[in-house]
Amino acid sequence: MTTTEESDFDSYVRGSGPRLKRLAFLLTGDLDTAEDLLQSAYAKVLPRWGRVRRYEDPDAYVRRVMVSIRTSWWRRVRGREVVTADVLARPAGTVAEAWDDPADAQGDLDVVLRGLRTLPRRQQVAVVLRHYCDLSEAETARVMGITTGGVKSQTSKGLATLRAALAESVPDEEPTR
Amino acid sequence: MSPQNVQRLLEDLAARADTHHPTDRVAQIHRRARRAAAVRAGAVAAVVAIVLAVAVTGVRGLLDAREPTPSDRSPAGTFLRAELAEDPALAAALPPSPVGGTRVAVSISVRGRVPQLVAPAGQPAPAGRDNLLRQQIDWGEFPRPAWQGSSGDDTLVCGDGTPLVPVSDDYVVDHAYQRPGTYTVTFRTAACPPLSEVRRAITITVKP
Repeated sequence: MTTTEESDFDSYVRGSGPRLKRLAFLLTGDLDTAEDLLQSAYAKVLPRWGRVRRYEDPDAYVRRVMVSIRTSWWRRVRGREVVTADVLARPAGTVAEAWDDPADAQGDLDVVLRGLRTLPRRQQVAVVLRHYCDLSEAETARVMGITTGGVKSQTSKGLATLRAALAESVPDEEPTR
Repeated sequence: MSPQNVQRLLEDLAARADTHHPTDRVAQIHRRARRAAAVRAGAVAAVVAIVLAVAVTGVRGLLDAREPTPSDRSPAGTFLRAELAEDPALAAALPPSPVGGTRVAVSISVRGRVPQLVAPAGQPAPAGRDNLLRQQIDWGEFPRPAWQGSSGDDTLVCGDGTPLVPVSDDYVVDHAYQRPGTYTVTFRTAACPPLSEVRRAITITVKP
């Protein structure tokens, strides 16, 4: 790799780091593991940077590497991962109303985070790629190495689980006004 | 929960990552890449050593030296073999564990020729290590095994007369022991019949 390419790679890391770190966090549910995932992905991309830098969207390649690494970690450590943050107790109210109160909104995010952590691998990746990265079903299928039908199915199941988690966090009684 | 709501929730959740600023990410990435390159070079050297060994001793001699134990070997050309070894150099290079304790690293190597698992209709057939039923490790900290790792993909099942596929997987796992002592670390993996479970164990001493 030439000095120019290395310098270009370093600039790319500085520029793309924050946005890809957010994706890594959604894929791992933990800030330290997210940083580990992100650095692992960049380290894999570095030797190929001469080619990757010419891509129209290098982020797409890094995203694919991140998903691949995360999948491989999953296989190795599944069952070892534990949820370390307890979900905050929420007052009565609907999810929509909760957005009016920043504390409630944080509570919902805790529920979503916990839900994401507990989703099976493919469901979690499908939900994040489709609804956070805004990839099409075809693009998501390419990144995940599955069919578009598989993406639809995994996304649907993942969303259903997240919905159920959010619904469970809201008590059944009428909201207090 | 509409797609817009999901997107909004995920974006707000992802923003939590903005509060976490690593020190010198770029330098860390270069270090990782150099370490990976060194590992790859070591692997190439190992392959060269094997090729030389074959040239000197002949294929038969090498196979004799690495003959699987009876539990690894089944009829019809199938086999499943696992090896594990402590990697003190890598453990020393790892950052301190966020939960404290003494970090150890164990390299795991799995080789096999196993019956291919059957995927649900419409799903791609599994390849390589995805054809293993599990890959799990017990760090030997408790009276009863506490298996950690992959228990396999629940949607994949064993079939009759499925083709044999090669499996080759090498990786490193790490763990932080909270107390000094001598621990038996056990790894287990398994494949469809006629193969069964294969276990390997090593002893690790954690100094005070």
